[in-house]
Amino acid sequence: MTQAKKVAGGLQISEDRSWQEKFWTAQRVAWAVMALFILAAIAGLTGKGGPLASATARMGDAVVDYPAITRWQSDEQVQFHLADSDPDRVDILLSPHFVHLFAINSIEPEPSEVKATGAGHRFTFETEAGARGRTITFDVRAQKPAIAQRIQAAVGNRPAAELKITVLP
Amino acid sequence: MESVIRGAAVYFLLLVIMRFSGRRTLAEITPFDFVLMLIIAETTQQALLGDDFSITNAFVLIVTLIGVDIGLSYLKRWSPTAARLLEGVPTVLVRNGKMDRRAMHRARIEESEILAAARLRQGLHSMDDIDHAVLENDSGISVIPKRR
Repeated sequence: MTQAKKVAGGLQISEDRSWQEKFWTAQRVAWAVMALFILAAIAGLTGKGGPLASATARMGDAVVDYPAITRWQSDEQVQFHLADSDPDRVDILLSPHFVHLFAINSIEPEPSEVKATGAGHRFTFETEAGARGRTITFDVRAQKPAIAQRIQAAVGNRPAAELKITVLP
Repeated sequence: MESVIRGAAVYFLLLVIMRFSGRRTLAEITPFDFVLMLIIAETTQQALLGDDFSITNAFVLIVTLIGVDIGLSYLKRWSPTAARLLEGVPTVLVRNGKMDRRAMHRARIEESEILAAARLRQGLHSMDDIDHAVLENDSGISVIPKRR
């Protein structure tokens, strides 16, 4: 333990003023870091809400909304918004990284068919052709932390979009 | 292994946050401070346990937390630097009857708090009766009265 020294007045105490001054300064810096952390959280850099927490990728006129930053073991949604021109039978292909990173809790509407292929999982959905606002929602839960994991997602025959997802521990 | 990492990570995270939040925080417990402590405890519990509510997980976490605590207590005994970092050092607020305004400002201590400690612990009437006042590592203010 720190040696207790005598200071003026006969008080035996392990006071170290220069160290204390340095610590007070470090403390103020830590408060500034905490304030920045709160601002980062509001901006969405810690996931779960905020403008930077979610992202959108486009595959032609189809769109996917997904969590760009999420947290380990927290529930999220990946939503595919189909284009009006999509047929009644629509395939969504998700690369193998997706099922390694996320557990799929539920899919709304449920796919009529799921096939494991070399390129990933292919989900087939029956929808009403030409209907507006067709959305397919995957309720998922992150299974492990990951930094900027790149996941390929494709709707129908369109070229795949790249989803960049970070899972915080 | 995951439980040990979770336990150690939460322990050190709390240690750093509490240490840097300053000695005034949660020192004199007001009813709101008490509620705040309960909220922090509840939040920490969720981060510690995750989805695993098994007795094994609880046992591993408890042993980890106590183990880290024992380990750090030995580290503090061996290393004065570690002791200062982990526990801090006492701060003299009143020296030979004179207030150290800078120390009070940096430690966020008001004159009224020193006087309250003097009244409560020593039955003193005013600042003139105080020889030394020290903000201790446990956040309490100890007061040494002047010799009559």
